[in-house]
Amino acid sequence: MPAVRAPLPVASSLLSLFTDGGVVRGRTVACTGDAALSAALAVSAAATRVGSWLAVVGVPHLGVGAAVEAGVAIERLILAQPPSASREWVTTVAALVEGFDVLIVAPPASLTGHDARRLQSRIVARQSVLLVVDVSGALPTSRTSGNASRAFVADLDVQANTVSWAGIERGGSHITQRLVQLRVGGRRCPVPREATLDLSCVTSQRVS
Amino acid sequence: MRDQPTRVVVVQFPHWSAYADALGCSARSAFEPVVRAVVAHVPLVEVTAPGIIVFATRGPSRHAGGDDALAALVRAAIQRQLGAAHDTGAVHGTGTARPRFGIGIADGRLAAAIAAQHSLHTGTPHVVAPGASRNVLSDTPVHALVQCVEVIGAVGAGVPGADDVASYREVVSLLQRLGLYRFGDVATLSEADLIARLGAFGRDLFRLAHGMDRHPPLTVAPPPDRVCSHQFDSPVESRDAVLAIVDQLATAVVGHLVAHGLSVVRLHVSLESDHGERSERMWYRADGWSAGAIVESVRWQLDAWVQHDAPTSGVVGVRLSPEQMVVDVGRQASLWGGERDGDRHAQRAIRRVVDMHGAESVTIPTWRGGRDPARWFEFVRSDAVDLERRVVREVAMPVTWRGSLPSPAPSLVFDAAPDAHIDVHGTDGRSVGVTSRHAMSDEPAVVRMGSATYDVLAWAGPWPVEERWWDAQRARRAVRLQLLLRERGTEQTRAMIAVLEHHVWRRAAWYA
Repeated sequence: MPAVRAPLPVASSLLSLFTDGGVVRGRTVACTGDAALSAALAVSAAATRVGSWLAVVGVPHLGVGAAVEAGVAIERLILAQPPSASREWVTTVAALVEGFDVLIVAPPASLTGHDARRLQSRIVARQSVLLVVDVSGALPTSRTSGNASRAFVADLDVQANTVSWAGIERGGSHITQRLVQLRVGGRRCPVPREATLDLSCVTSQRVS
Repeated sequence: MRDQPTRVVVVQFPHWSAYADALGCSARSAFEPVVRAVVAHVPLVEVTAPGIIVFATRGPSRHAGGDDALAALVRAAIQRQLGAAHDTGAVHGTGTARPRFGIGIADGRLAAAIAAQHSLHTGTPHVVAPGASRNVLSDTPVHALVQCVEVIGAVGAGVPGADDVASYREVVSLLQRLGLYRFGDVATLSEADLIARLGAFGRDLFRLAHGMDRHPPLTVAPPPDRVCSHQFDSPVESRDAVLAIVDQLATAVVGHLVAHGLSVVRLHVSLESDHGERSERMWYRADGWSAGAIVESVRWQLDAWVQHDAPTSGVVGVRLSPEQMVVDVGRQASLWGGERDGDRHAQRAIRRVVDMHGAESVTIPTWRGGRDPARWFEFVRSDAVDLERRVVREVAMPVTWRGSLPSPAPSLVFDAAPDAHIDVHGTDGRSVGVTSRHAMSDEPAVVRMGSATYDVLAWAGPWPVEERWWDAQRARRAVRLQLLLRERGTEQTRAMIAVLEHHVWRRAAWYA
């Protein structure tokens, strides 16, 4: 058994959702819903501010402005674009796991359950955290499919759905605030927890 | 401290990475043959970045019979090499024009870089007579700094955010607002005044304006030999094994220097094979070498050696000799609390992935600013960034800039790719147009994207996007619309940014 390390820290406003004081290392977290990507960034932000590196895999169009708003320390963020063949994809992400505490991945449609579990065992051995995002709803033309996310056996499920868009009207103003309902459940969290948050300011902008 | 700058040759290809991209290979590997063409005449050159070669004229000039002869010799060698690349088909068929380059010779890097810029326009090498560089400089507008950033390194290295061209522009604009248009104007100020006004920028500017090199010569004892070199017990064939040792050596050398408050700017790297073959190269980096950057450079040197000279046996010796050191202005260590294990592990993991799939498989966001969220950050290939020395500027969301998108920022932003095309229809079912006064022909009602159809619940805009209006080729005249949508047949709401450009709507950003 690998030595147990302290959970990956999360922003204080997310602590009510992650009752272990953060995200327990070695876990796989499936993020779904229309705000899946924003939620994954919000969950990983606090860790990057205390020295953890974040790799975002398979999301070439990541809006880094959103990562900044979520509080991610940009100097420890990289984007990786591995080949989409299942085996090669897993080998590449497994190489990244060696150096990264947090990975946000949008798996390719070709990913097999066997390869996904190989990756998960690396995550457990290296005590990192894997956030699997489903961005298929946002990218109707992309090859990333919702099914690929299901290749993973998630320890936690985070459902992130926007409940209100404030500010925008028919022809006036603009979106000033987006409230997202986060629902954390799954096999390692038998009692689901909920919170409604503005994800763009869960982590304070400044490094203490 | 009126120290004399070294007389140097600067060879600069201003658009090298674009040229390499057009060829479909990495900037480094494309540049290697050019370096080798020069090395055939000049034993030791400095390679700062792909596209730039710098070397001292002293020995080579005497050998060639003067500065002019040396410049002509180097120019001919490079042109022969570029010609050969075109003829042998390495470049053939890509329709790529030969890259332009300038050669400048002067006292000091800045003057030589300016001479190289001049040479770019005239097409012939530009030699500034010995002793005349200061006069040339005093007439040179300060905005020449922007073009020379790669040759001289960032002014005021050590100041967060001083790394990029954008911050150079800020310095230049500040100088101009102060009424200092030429280096001659800057030179009338005292060093104390410049430092008081501009901090570390001021100190560097003072030296540059007076025709000195940025770093005063510093005589310090180099690190002990055991720190700088390694002899293998038996020849090593594996690149990774050599680089692992280089990593150790580089960490030790940089650590030794940091402990003495120094950092190395000019590093001589030599590799030796069991049969006595050698690869030697000088590496220069104005803001100091980090261990990770040293490893990357040695990787370049090693690959080039193996590929072009094919040494007949494995590597038996590695030596890293710091040739020039500067007082470390307290940059990386103090800024980030020193290098952490996590940083090193991440850099190794990145290097492994790059080895597997190439440098473009990992990209690093670099702040650039601008009104369009797709352009706030430039994604830079991993080999173009020194991860250890990354200094990220205080990222202020540009909410106050006219025409910028207000917070919250979209989490997916798209380039103008062909598959990004969408339909935006009005209540009458026709495509929505926008007049030159930014009035819409109709209220947007329906958006179609691929096979999905969305009803428009609300919208904001249109906002004009007019960028680079001064550059007819790259000017953008477009409008941006923020849309709140509901997918047909579901209760799911989503928000996006659509852009209308050349009468075509495309999805520009998505709030995911």
